[in-house]
Amino acid sequence: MRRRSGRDREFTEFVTSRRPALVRVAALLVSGDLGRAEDVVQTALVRLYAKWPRVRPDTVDAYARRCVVNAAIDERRSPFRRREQSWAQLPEVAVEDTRSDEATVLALLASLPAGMRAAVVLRYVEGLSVAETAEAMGCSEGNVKSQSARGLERLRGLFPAEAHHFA
Amino acid sequence: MPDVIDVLRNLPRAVTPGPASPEVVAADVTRGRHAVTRRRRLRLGLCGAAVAVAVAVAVGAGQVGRQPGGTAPSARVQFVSYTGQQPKGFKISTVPDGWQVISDDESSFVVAPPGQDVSPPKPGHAFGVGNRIAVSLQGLTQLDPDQHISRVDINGEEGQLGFAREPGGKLSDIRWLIFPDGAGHRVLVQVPASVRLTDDQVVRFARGIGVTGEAREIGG
Repeated sequence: MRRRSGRDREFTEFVTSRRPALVRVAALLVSGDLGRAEDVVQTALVRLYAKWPRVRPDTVDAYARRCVVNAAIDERRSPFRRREQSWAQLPEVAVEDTRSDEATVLALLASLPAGMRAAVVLRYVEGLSVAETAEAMGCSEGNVKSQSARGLERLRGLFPAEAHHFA
Repeated sequence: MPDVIDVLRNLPRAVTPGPASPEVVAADVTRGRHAVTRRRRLRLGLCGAAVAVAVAVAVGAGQVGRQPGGTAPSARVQFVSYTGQQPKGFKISTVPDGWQVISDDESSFVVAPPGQDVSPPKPGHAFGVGNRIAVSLQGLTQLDPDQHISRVDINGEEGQLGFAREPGGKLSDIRWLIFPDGAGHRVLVQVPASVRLTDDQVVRFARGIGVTGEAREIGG
């Protein structure tokens, strides 16, 4: 077990180098909201710090990602968060959509179920392998494959573009 | 027009948090230290509480709950068959006497004790679930394993009963009961301390919950 001073030094080095990437992943999981992403990462890093003596250096990146994914999902599940509401009628005033493709897809990601969104973000945005994504999500590789494929399919159906086909 | 997968690959450029300042990193370390300290104190407190419970039982001092929020659970709640309209995606057979479903969709439903405002939320207004029980599918929600998790029987399946964590990392007073329904679904029951139900009463309520084919995991 690493001693506390060593723990703080190693943890500080890790957070300094990896924090921006973790915030980016969190932001993608919470609809691009950097404020909420910051909350998620703070929660994840508290958990990571507590586990630090038992996390192997070669798996710390994967474990940190897993903490972020879990914290993002917990944050969404919190009963104190405003509940999403749907209404039978559309707003009366339409607005012109001038968002970039990135902003559009970011907004569309928010429409995916939490697990599907995590699979899409980790696989296609962060470029993780199926195995790495499964590790971060705490689920099977088969689940990652189905969730990411279905998520991509759903995004393609929603994205205002021509249908594209990939091998 | 680019394909979705190309846009996804470009998203890291659209979300660009700045580098972590030394002050931010130091705050992360401080929060971690405080959480570890709190956890140690909580463990010590639980040991002390266990001794207190043993003594109380020995002298017949009655029941002792385990509510971290300090709200004493009520042992006098009566359970009755639920006769109201069933929520979408779920079936309820048993509820505490007088409780009713006040909100539901395919992903979740909320039950509340008598005397609460049951009108639907106004457009654009938050809908709190304080003093109410929220039920949904588990999705990827997990109980933090760094706490005491009770194993309970829910209709022959093993459920896990513990507490949610607050964003700061400490345990909240919201109990989470997660259990499989035997048909491939996993159900999450969120019970704030303010509803004043004992663990046994939460388990009894959960035994009356079923999941239908219409249930969907929360998205968005």
